[in-house]
Amino acid sequence: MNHGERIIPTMCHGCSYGGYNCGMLAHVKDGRFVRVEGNPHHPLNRGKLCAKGQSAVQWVYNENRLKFPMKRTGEKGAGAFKRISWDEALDTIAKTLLETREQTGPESLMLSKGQSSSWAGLHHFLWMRFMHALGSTTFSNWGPSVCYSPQLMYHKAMIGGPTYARPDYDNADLILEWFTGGGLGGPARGGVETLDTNLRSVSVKIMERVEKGARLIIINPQLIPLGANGRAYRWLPVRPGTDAALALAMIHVIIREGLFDRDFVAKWCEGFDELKTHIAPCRPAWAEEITGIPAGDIEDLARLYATTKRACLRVSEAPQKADLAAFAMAIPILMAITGHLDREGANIWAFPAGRLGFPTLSERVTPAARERLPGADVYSVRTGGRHAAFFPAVIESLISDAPHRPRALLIFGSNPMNTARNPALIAEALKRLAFTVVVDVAFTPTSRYADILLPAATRYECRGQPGIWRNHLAMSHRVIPPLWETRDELDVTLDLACRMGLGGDFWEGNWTAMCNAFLSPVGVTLSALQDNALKGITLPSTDYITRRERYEILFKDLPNGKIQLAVRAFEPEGAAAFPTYHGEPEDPANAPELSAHYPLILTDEHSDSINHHAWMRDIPWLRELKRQPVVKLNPATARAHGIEAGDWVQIISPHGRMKAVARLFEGIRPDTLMAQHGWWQGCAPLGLSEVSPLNDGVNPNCLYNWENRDPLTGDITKNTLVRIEKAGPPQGVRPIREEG
Amino acid sequence: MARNGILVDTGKCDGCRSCVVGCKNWHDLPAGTPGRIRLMDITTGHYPEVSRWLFPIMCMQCAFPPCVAVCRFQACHVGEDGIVRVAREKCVGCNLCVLTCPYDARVPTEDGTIADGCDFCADRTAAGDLPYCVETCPSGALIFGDLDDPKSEISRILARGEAGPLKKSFKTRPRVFYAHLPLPISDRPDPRREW
Repeated sequence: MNHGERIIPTMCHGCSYGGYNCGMLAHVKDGRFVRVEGNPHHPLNRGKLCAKGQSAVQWVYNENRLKFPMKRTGEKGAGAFKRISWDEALDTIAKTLLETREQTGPESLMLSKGQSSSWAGLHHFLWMRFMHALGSTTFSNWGPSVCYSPQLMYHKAMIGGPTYARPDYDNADLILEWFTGGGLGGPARGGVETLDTNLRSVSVKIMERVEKGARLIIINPQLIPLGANGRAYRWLPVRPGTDAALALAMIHVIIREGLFDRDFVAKWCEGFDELKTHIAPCRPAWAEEITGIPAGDIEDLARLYATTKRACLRVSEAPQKADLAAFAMAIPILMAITGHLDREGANIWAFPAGRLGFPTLSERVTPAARERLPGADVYSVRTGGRHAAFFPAVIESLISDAPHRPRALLIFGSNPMNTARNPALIAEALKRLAFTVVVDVAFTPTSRYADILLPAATRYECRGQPGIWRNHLAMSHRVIPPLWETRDELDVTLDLACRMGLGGDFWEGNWTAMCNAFLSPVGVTLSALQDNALKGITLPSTDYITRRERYEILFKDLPNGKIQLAVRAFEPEGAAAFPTYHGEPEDPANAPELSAHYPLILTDEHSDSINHHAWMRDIPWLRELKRQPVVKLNPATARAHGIEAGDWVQIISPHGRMKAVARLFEGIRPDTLMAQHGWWQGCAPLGLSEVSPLNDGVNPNCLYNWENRDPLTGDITKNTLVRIEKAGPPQGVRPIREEG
Repeated sequence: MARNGILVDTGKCDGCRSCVVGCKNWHDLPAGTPGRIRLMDITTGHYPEVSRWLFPIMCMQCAFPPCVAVCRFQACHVGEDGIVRVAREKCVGCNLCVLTCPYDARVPTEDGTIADGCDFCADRTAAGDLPYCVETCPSGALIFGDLDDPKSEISRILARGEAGPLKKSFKTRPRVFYAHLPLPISDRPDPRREW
């Protein structure tokens, strides 16, 4: 029903604004975006929406929106800006980038984007092309690269494939959700997370499968909502940071009891006999001591996983540790030796019917510029073709004034002050940049360090971005014209490129031509897609998408075309060829002296059903459901520390401090605290003010030791030792202000 | 006329609050005040033997509605369609209904002058559509249908004895039912204190 409103089919901005998301019907009345509902013709969400999608209207009409281009007038970080025109802003940026390239080389230009614009979508291609056209490949995530790509490096080295092998929930009889949000995450992560690009559909698939009799096992320090209402066959509350020991003990049991898939191992795996020797000491009793999970439960888990024909697993947050190698290698081994790979109901490789994109002009980057990339010699950067900088090396190069440090930084929709570990160091690095541009929909703590702020339009105000999921092509559509002076980031990038004399590489600024180039690999035109706004376009499926056991192709880049249960290439780097458990540098076993003063373990959970990483806390309909950042702790732990439900508490690690409201929860390990990252925003309609991302604010990233990271990939730990005490609420910070 | 009801299949609810926020979206209700539907999140037992229960609560559309019984202004009333609702022009905001509802499903609006509650989306059902929460629930945990039609999905599930109302002992005869919820949870005497 429409209440006499105009209905415009589009896609949700919630998980990301650049890629394929849930289909949405936006209602417009008298020129105002008034409500949304799901698009029943969209195959991903079939008319459904999550809480974040439901609040689209409040996301658009939000007082925290960045409304005009601005330039900084005060000290970096202070938050004083002056409104300027788009012409002044873009001319300044164009001039500064060209001068910087002239003076300090193309590699001193750097671009950072967050998850907000999605990965491998149109924005991603355009920005890569923009940097490459300038001769720079200094692309960095500025910190959040802690889950997807580091783990992927190990997966690809061991079991091949172009991406992760993802759980085939639709056909599984056993589902292991290993430190996941259980589908409440929200972000459109195609990788570790799921077959789908949308996490809401993950929990739905799992629940449907459980209803049909599949067993669901939750491996997580807390009992997540997915495991509620009697759905979890078992909940195994693993001690944070010790997942690798659990996985290794599972491998031990599977090999010891002969439960592995002999045919698959013989035909497709190399290094099994050495693995058998290597894994011999990893007995369940050994793992019980480390993980806190009884040996009998570990044996049962291993047997169940190995003997259930259609068993899949998903790990999403578990990899975020300094001891990543052990875990990221043990998981592919588990899948491989049990033959739970690319078979129905197991972990499979999913491919779309076509890939969208245009050339990113990477040949414009000289080998010399690639060699000067910060962290060019780090294993994952070197073996990955030096197409992106190593984040810790970027920060270190800035702090140490290294000759080949980045000088000018463009940030599109990323907020490293909140999403990266060690925000104080990030702030220092941001201060040392000669020139920083932040393009965002909202004021963020990172934008305080910008020289120029550019107001991005939300997806509902943009002309549209095509995306693909499986064999379905769809695009978003403009619901209302951009509010205030906001502009589509795609247009801004094209405009900037033209002002820098790069029009020839950027379709002379023509958005339609760009979209057609992006769509050309699948032979669909922009106008055809626009004509099918409601239903999108379904491409023919192919045998390759639906076929399973495609091992010849998936393993073709591996040595001898076989799965590598040992990776000898890691050994010259000082890393082990087999997964070897070390634990986190700061855990009770490795740092007993710290443990005496900091008796609890802290880790943080990612997004939940009403939050998404570091944004959306300014949406009143969502924020009212969780007004303050919480730390979950067991009631027994709370009693021991004199803490009651609803108290503000301070959490102190050897590296920093944060505050949160205590939420007492029986479904969490008594030795564990779980905070949530991404908090800083105020919400004026609810009388809540912004809080600093630095110490004594509400940011768990202050607590971690950023030096504790995986040497091959730079994956930084999210486990630390802490103590907790009652405290007052955090101080609010002065909002960013506009000076006349 | 159909006697419509809602069945909440807790097996399919993971507490995502799409219904909670979606209701505010569809009806353009303000933030900062209770909405017409909210989420229960109950944990029982002690670590590590723990159970967790998540499910939404809305107006139960009682056959014997306490809110109607206590309203002195005929604001809370049963409409011709059998749906319990608040006539906003008659409501003085005395909040007696808010205090008396066993399910805490009547809520005061922002300034406390009007009581509000779920009417199964009268605007939508009048046009033949489903209530918004039912339509939008990502996992299809909410089932809407005619309780008097033995062939409706909701009637068939109820006939199998797989679902019952919350707090049956209050004998208000709700039209909202919960499937797969154990008795100690569905029979909690005072939701306001613990829920």
